[in-house]
Amino acid sequence: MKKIFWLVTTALIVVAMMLSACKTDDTAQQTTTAVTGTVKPTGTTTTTAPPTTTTTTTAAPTKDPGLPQYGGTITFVLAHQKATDYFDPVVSAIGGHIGNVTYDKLISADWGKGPQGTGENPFLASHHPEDWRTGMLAETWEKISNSEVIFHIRKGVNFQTKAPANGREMKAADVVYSFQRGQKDPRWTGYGFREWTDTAAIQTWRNTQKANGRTDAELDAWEAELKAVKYPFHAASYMVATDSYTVKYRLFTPYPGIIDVASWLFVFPSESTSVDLGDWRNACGTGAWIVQDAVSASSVTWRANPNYWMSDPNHPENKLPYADTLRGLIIIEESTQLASLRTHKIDVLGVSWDKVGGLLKTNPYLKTKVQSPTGAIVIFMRTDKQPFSDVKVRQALSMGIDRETIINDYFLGNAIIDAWPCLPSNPSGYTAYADMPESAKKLFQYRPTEAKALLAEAGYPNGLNFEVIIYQSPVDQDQLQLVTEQWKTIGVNATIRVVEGATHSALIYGGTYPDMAYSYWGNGSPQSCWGWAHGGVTNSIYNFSKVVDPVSEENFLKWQNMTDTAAANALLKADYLRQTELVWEIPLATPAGSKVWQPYLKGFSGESNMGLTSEMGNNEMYKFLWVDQTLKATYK
Amino acid sequence: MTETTVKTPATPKKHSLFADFFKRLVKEKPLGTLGALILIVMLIAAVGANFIAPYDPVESALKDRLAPPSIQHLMGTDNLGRDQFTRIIYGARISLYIGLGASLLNVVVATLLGLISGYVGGLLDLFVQRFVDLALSIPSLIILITLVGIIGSGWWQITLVMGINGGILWTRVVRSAVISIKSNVYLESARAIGGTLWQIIFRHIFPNIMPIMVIIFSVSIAGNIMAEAGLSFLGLGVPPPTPSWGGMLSAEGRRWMYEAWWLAIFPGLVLTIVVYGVNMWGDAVRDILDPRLRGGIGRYGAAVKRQQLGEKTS
Repeated sequence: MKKIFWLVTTALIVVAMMLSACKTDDTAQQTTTAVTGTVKPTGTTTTTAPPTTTTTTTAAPTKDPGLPQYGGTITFVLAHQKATDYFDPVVSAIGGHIGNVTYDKLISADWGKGPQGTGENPFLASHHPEDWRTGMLAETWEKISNSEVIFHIRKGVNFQTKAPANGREMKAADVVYSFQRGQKDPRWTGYGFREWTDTAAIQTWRNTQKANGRTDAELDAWEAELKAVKYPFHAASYMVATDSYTVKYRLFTPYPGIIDVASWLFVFPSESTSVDLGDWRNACGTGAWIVQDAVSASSVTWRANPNYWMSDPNHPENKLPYADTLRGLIIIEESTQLASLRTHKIDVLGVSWDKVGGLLKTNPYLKTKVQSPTGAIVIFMRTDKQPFSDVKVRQALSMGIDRETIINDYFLGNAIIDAWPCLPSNPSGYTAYADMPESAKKLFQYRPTEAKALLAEAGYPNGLNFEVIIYQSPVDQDQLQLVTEQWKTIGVNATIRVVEGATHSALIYGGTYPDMAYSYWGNGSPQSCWGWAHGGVTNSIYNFSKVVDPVSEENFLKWQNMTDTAAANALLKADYLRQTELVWEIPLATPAGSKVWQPYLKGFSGESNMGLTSEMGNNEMYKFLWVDQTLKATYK
Repeated sequence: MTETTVKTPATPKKHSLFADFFKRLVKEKPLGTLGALILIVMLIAAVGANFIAPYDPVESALKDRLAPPSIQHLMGTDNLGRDQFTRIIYGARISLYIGLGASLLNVVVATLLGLISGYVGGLLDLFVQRFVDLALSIPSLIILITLVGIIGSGWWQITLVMGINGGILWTRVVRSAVISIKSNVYLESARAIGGTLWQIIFRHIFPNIMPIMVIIFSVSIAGNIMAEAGLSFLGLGVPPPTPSWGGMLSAEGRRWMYEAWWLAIFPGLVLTIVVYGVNMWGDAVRDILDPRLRGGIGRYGAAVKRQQLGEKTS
């Protein structure tokens, strides 16, 4: 009897829980706002496979009506288990970009030119070209050359009112200190900081540089320059303050993206010498939010900085930030993230294209915005050996893929064809599929007959057998399955081998994968497609396809020293097109994710992030957003 | 003087070992019989997949993607438009290969290690058992993930890893049995008349641990099927496009749960039924074969029941 009683009770509890979980939020549905449509990434050519090439441009994102409100809490996801270990601004980028919240950078994307302002910049990518940037801690800047830039530091910006700076004004010395601390920190990729007494290391650097074609005179000049500004030896760069509000930044090797590189810097007070910046209690920046609490593997809470220097560019009378509190919940698992959004535990989330439909099915009032990809899906090949050393084989494999079908029928239009070698968000190097010459265009088209003929010409009339490695991502595995199935039509039999993520990285970085490697690759900035992917630097660890392309190398060196932006961009585009025709990698359909947010999160149009060349701008935008608390109350 | 007649219980008919086993399985273990039927259905599905399955398991049909269950597609289609019923049938093949293969390897490894360790004893036993302790102290899934990560994923790799790892864990059971048998007088006699090590092992010990080996085999199958599903769920199982139930649950079921319930429900349901069935069958096999399990459910219990039945009828 007792057993039956407990059995019935347990069953009733389970049924009650299931029913309550399935309950529809009637209140929420009554206050539904229009769902943003499934638009394609702005300015990108979508579903572009021929012959029916169509260019879809996003309609201008809507500006939130109404005046901003102060107060409330914005909650977002920190998708990094150890996010709380990365308060140190030097390593913040590794840990879910937690630093953007407390620390400011020198330059950032101009929110005023975004959808909530003038609408010039759709804010859908992580790269923001120069016209769409604005000074943050650097009020203005002068690019002297590709190896020198002068930053004029903004006056009247104070650190947060807490130790060690206690609200004092931020100056050029702090910027230099922050930069040097990063250079000296072994976690900061070890760019080559050495004491002058370490002659052996300096000699090794000289030998390497000479092997790469640098002259003794150039090396002597760099050493002399470092000594003149009383700087420790550094192989790549230095930064000095020329007065209280001016900073000079120099690079040893010219780099057209010099401003992007320096802009990443988070600035913290020079009193931090003996302070453990990794401890959240010591986090003291000039940013909009002051860390209030951090619980390992759980959450981080910030409160608004009452003395924040910045005003809303779209409402200049309003000081930022709007919300009183900012909360980052550490949630790694995707299903849990989605459940948190569904149940209003979080206010905004970046989701993959295949999750949006499910979210809108259960929560139709959610707002969504398709983003521009921040990287591309490509297949790297061992071009250092047969059969992939033969351009005909590579071209045949590219033409053996029916990208149009994959984009339309699998990605339902939420993918682009021309994300490689340069993303559409990088106009300096990007050529849209529609603008490509026919010789390049056809490589994106499904031409099985031509592909078979090319294979036969290359000496493979009976097709090919090889292995493709891939990591454990169902979406990517789906696309690869479709590709390998299509290749069978041209006689190519590719076996898929799934490897663990770290193994995949080790294999592609080491160049030891057997034949092919399917991969996502973040080609977020114009130059990254060149230097990171292949070609430009043959010895680069990012030369995954093991390409030897002297023309590209020559062009890369030429481009590095070009100060005429238009000419540099023309060279970049021309070389990318040349590389596209050589098919050093096989570009595949690249899906675009979406931002999904609650209707009560206002002043937001699904902007991607405020970085310049990477995702470094994640979380930075929350200071501009506000919460409609009356509306939010109806969603409880 | 009263004449008394002593009634002796009816002598049961002699059956072969297998016939006896199956007869008792059906008569005494209905759930075990159900489990055996499920296993048989799974075997038929796996072996005859090419003839039973209505579609190609790997060929995509994107126009039909995420179609709900219908006459054309009994269990709907997946995100690449492949018939889910077909993939479940073919998935049985992988589950069966790996489930049976790994279980067989479990038995081989457990028997080899347990036999040698238990019979030889001494330092070798000490060494082997500490190694087993080490293996037992690390969660199996962690070991599986690590090893599959190193040697790569694929059905034979998974079978190998699960077979060896599970075998090491079962070593203890075989070793205990061997130690208990070792102390029997007949073994001492065998040694006294000059029996060699291999003769003693194969003629005297091996037959005595046979039932244990069968039990290890039957009990391991469900665990191995689940482990394979777990690895596939984590993306370390059989690589695509080969269908496996765990992979279907992870790659399709979990991703499309809200849009296409059938992608999670059917593979999950089949996996549950098969694992339940195999477990029931394994338990029944253990109950019937394990001489230690008396008290009403083992062979002894059944014998007592038969005797009681005979007394009643007389």
